[in-house]
Amino acid sequence: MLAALAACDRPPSLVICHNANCAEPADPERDDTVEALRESLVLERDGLPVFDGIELDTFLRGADNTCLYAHDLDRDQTPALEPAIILAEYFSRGGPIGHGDTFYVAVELKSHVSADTADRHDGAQLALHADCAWQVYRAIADAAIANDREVVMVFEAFNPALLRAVIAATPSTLPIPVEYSAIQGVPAPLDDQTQSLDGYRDLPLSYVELHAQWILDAQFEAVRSLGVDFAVFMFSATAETFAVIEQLRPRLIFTSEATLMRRWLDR
Amino acid sequence: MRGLTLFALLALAGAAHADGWHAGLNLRVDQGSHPIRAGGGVELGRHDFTLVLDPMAWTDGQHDLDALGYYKLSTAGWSLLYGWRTTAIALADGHQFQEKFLLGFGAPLPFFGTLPLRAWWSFELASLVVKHGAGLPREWISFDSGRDFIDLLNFGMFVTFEYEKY
Repeated sequence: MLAALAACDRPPSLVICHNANCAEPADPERDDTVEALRESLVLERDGLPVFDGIELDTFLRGADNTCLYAHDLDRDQTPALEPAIILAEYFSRGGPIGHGDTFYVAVELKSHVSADTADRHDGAQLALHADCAWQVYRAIADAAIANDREVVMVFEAFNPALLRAVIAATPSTLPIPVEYSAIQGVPAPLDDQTQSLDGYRDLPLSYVELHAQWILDAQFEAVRSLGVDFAVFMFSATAETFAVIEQLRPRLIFTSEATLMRRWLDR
Repeated sequence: MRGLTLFALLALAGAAHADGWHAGLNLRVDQGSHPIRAGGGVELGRHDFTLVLDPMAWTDGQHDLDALGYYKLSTAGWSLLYGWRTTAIALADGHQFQEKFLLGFGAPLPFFGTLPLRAWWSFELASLVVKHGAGLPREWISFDSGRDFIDLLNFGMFVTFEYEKY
């Protein structure tokens, strides 16, 4: 009830294209692929893009310390800068690039370095991954400035150590704003990536991203105690997902079905 | 939808030979459907068939329609629950239909004594089988990876408070 009351005065949620793969039907096998990114970037409704931003995953492959555009290591791998180049082209097109005035580019730094999700970065790999994230930032920022686009970059991770590494490597100038986000997914033992929010207390988070159907009361209270916004993510939206969005009115919705979500918000 | 119509007709046809019928409220606190719905059905020996409608559809345009069956496994009333839920989700320019297969179990709650009322508790696993409608591509459940189905399988519990007539 408190959550519902608190949600009353919030602005409309922003729709973010989850894993750069949000053309229906939802198909997680195509997450973070160039083909899905290109198909997502043409999604429009009434002449406007259906989403307010896009999420890209970067993956540091520990075997050769190569930074990739990938959700995991199951497919052929693409260099991490490839989607930034595609987005730079997108920014140069005529007309709006997002549903609202500001376009969000969320860059997730994947928190494992091999197919094993328990295989985490060592110190040097944290620095390498952070440097990779800033290279993506520079490519996006250059394109945003060149095309006079209002773009915000968000760095997000399941592991606070990655966000600390990114902050430690912050360049001297930031042409576009930067935000930080913690991700909380499906809880253990179903998934071993989520870490306690206690580990993020020293970080300047803008929001915490939670799996819409796995929000525990303790997590909810912990996010409230941090004084930051909520975001939710999902793989396939169900009645349960929509109920959570109605209740919490998150600032951002990371969805694999951007047209469905936009039409639901516009109903 | 055709399946639900057939289910309703079978239930109505069965009512003529029913051991009893019941009607009342279907209540839940989880997000599986609207919290307050209304339904009714017939009891035929070990079988019970119930149709649940959703008067809360006016609040947000979402309608959750259930066709439920119970098969009594014990004299105490413990029953196998099976059924189908069609959720119509209002979108700009149409409705998306989410079709769910329900499987679970239920049991009577004892606290109405000899009054012609019955209370029933049920636990369900709702598996979203297919989404369709509103001009959007059809999406079937897949088990290729956990991400394909983890959002589509949801547990829920509900209770019914109904008038019953034998």
